[in-house]
Amino acid sequence: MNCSYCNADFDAEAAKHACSACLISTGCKSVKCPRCGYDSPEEPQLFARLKAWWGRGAEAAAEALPRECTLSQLRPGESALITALRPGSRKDLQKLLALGVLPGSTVTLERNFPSFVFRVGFSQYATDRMLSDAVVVRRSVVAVPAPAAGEPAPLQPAAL
Amino acid sequence: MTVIGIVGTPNVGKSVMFNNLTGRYATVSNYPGTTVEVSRGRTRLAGGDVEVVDTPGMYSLLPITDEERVARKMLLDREPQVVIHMVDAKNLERLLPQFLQLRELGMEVVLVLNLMDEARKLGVELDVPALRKRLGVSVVESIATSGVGVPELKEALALRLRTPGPAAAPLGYDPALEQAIHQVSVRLPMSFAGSERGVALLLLQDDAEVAERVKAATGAGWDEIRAVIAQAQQDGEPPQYRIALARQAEAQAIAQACVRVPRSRTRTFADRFAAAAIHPLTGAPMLAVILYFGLYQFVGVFGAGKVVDFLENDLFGTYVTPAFDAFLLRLLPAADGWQYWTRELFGGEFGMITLGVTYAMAIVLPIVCLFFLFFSILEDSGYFPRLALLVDALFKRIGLNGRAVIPLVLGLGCDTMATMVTRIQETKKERIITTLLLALAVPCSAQYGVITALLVRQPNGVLGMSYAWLAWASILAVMFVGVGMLASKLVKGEEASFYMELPPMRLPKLSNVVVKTAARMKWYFLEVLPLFLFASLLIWVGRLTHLFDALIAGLVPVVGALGLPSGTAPAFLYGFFRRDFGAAGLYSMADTGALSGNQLLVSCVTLTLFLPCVAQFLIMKKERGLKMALAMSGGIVVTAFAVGATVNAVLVATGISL
Ligand SMILES: Nc1nc2c(ncn2[C@@H]2O[C@H](COP(=O)(O)OP(=O)(O)O)[C@@H](O)[C@H]2O)c(=O)[nH]1
Repeated sequence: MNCSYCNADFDAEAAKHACSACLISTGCKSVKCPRCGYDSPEEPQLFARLKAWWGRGAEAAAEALPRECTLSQLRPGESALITALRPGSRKDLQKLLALGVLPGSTVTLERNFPSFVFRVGFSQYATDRMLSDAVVVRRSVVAVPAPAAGEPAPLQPAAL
Repeated sequence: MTVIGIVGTPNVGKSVMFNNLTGRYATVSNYPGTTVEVSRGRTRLAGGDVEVVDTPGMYSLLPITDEERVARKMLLDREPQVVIHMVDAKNLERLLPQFLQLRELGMEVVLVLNLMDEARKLGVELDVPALRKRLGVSVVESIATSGVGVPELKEALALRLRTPGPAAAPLGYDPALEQAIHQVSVRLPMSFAGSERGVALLLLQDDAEVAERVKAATGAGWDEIRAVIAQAQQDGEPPQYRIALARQAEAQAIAQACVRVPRSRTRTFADRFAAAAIHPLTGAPMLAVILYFGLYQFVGVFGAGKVVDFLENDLFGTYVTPAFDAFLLRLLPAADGWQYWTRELFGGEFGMITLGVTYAMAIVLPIVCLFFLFFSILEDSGYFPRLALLVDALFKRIGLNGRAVIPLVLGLGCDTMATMVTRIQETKKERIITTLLLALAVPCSAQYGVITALLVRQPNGVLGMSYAWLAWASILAVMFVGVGMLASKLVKGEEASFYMELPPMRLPKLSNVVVKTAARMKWYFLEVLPLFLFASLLIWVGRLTHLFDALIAGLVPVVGALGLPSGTAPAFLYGFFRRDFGAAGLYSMADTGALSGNQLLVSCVTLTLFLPCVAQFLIMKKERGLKMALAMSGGIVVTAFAVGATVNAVLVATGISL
């Protein structure tokens, strides 16, 4: 999103981390700009979704994303390697294990609204955000010219 | 007797295979979770009778829902001598860990690679001889729906029943785990002989149910076992995670050696359709179309309107009932005394034959049958899991998750049956909320049909739906959401995260649809027809003893408060036995023009909110306990009247006339 004071572009999710020390952080509806510290009102979800729908929001979000992210943060259509699971409870871990969502498998996110739909192998699954957040993935690098033969691949984004 | 168990994940064709083996029908479904009860049947193998048991699907031997516990309990009790492990051939790699678990429990397993047709179409190639060698068990390829592989499976089973197969080569885990497994297994009592390794692994994964079992069997030794488990839980990643990873690595190694998967996959028409069903822009209109044509037009207007009209008025009304009454009158001609009352028991306005059987055959049978047909088609196509993911976010607001669609939609057919299906839900809170919503705000098909037929005749409306019907449907929707939201705040307990496999969408198979519809109809009639007769009997006793006159007199002021004529009081009284009985009573009043549009709406809303029938109460008691069943029922009756009175007050205050 965009800071309404200094006009800096930043990732609202990332900014939330900065808030975690604040006492009222859970119920509060504002987001602190990481550059100037101004509290902007949180982007309404509907608005964020609409933006994502038009593609611009999604692209911006994708640029801001590191290679390690959660399944829920992938773009629809994107594949990634599952590297770890961070379930919130034993039950949730059990569900992911039961579905065969395990580190080492490749997952393709197909939809992120109204639920998260993804594919592992020939199976298709749907989960809510909570479970998709629990799956940590490493994205393959996209929109990078194919490495010349012999060059080590894949590239780290930092090297770009 | 020798027992053979069929286990596997949901939707791999277990029920179809069960039918193939036993010639008996278990309900077949394309929705995870509709086989709630265990089906048993018999077949002849190796010259003897054997029992075949079909179990509800499970994803892992660590159960999440109650129904998954059913299959596991059977395995832990070591009930089957041989287990048929059914897997989806194209997903072998993902399903092999379950196979490994079965072997760790010391089960004799025959692995069935089902859905071979789908696997071939996708270009998945399986090296079966290599699999046999590597896994050390019989492996059979099959297409359950066309019977391919059934003779081979029988042969493999017969062989296993005669001679036990080689023991499973144990899969190795990391050293710390192996040590813990060893320490636990040596302390297990004799009763677990053969399955020590599997049981030890379940214990190390902190399985409370297995712990109970072992504790009961070991006595004093349990403390030592518990110490080992606690220790294992403490070092490093949770054991269940480490165990799952090790099994997956093994599964990958096996798959690498024995399975060839094509790199690219072709998108079929069914895939595209499935994708459209879960896209919010296309999914919502699709749902609306399905509901409008399926429920409103097919079940409501066609079933409850046309078909019932024909059966009730033309067939029963003109021929069967008058003929039966005339027959009774000839047999017992006296105008009063015992002859009159005997006549009334079987015939007349409320007789067991003229009311009970007529209602069952002419009204309920066609409506329920059409509903189950509609339901079975949707179920077999694989649409329900897609519906579940569409509504998950909305259902979270009423304390449920997407999985609740199956009981709730089934409730539109029969609330009683649906209340039983709440067992597929994970937490107690969800089961309570679903039970309440089913009893209060989800009209069953018989009632829904009668009420639709009743309200749709009101003159003003749009799109073939009268305003009265729309108002009725909206009030129910508001009650559903409102009570759901309230209940999600009031009912204590955990909510569950939503996860679900989406089976491929398939064109419904006529035979499956017929079998499923027939199985549900059979259940319905065994459960419900006796109740119809029982209700007629109660009404007869009530009238004979003049008890009903007193009750009706007591109800007159209540219906008066709803702005209804006293003639509706009997309809409400009968509505306590079955909501649709009451609704049908209104039907005849509306026919004579004794009720205005507003009064119809008020009485239909009130009746719909009542408990659906006596059977509903009994099943609520069975599933939720007497205390909760009574509390819910009391609350529901009060709510029903309160909402009826409110609707009436609003109509009066606004001067709306429907
Ligand atoms: N194409 C194909 N469909 C199958 C096969 N076996 C089962 N089915 C279908 O898969 C669905 C699920 O089958 P069911 O027996 O209910 O699975 P269960 O949940 O394991 O009992 C049904 O619609 C079956 O018609 C098969 O070998 N090939």
